[in-house]
Amino acid sequence: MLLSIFLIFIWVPTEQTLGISQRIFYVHVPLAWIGMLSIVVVGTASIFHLITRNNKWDAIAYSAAELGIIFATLILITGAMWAKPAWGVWWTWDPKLTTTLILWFIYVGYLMVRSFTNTSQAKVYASAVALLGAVDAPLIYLASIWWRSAHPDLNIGPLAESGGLDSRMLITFLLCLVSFTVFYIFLMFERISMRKLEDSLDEVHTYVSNSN
Amino acid sequence: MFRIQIKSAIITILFLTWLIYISNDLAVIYADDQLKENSDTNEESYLAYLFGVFFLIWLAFFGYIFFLSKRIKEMKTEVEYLKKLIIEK
Repeated sequence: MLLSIFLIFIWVPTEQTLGISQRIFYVHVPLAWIGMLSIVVVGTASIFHLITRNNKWDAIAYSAAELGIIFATLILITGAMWAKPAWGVWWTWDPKLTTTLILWFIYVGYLMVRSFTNTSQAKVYASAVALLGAVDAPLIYLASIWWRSAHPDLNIGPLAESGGLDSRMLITFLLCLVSFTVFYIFLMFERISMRKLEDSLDEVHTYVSNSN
Repeated sequence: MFRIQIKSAIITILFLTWLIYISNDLAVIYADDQLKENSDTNEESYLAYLFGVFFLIWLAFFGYIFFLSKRIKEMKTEVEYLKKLIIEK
């Protein structure tokens, strides 16, 4: 993380058109990647939870959703703060922005369904919401190809055109992507183990109150 | 449980209010000439956006880690309480 900050502020060249504000790209895109990855994790874990009804999968889905909403919020905020100097507006109903906003609402929906009650029924409903959300991830990625968008063409990923980024920009970007992903994985493990502990505590509470 | 719902509702309302507020700037985005006009670099003011972004990101990360550590403390208290309850029985 520290190395990526050094590269962003000191080492990477400044982009000619957008100037210094383009450096937001090195954190905005990794955040977007994790926001999308997280909803795919929530969706996949929800499928396994629906099939097996094992609480382990539910703990993974819940943890990913909680982290996902933080990252999705940061995507929207950093996006707005980049849009202002780049486009002159904080927000526009661009397809990529709109699908990301939908993703944010899906995370909120998932967590709200989970917060109503901790019954297995709520977990099933939340899993259904998560599956809907997982569909949104490829839509966000492909939005700038499928619809007319203010976002630039894809620079990274399987559908990107080659030679889109300067080599130093690419190295900085990849390092940021890796460091953010590792940080996300670390937080995921922490949150999953905590969630399991919360579930165990709930069980003990139920046992103690029933035995009274 | 109820507190979480209230918190979620407050966050959603605040976020939507912010979204509506910034939407006043809407329009123009598809006009290419407008895009070019806006892309004139103004390094000084752009630096504020860059620092703003980094400040918010680290604030959110530290805030979340603080939330996790607080929750762990709460769980430890709960475990102690349950231990006492079981011993008393």
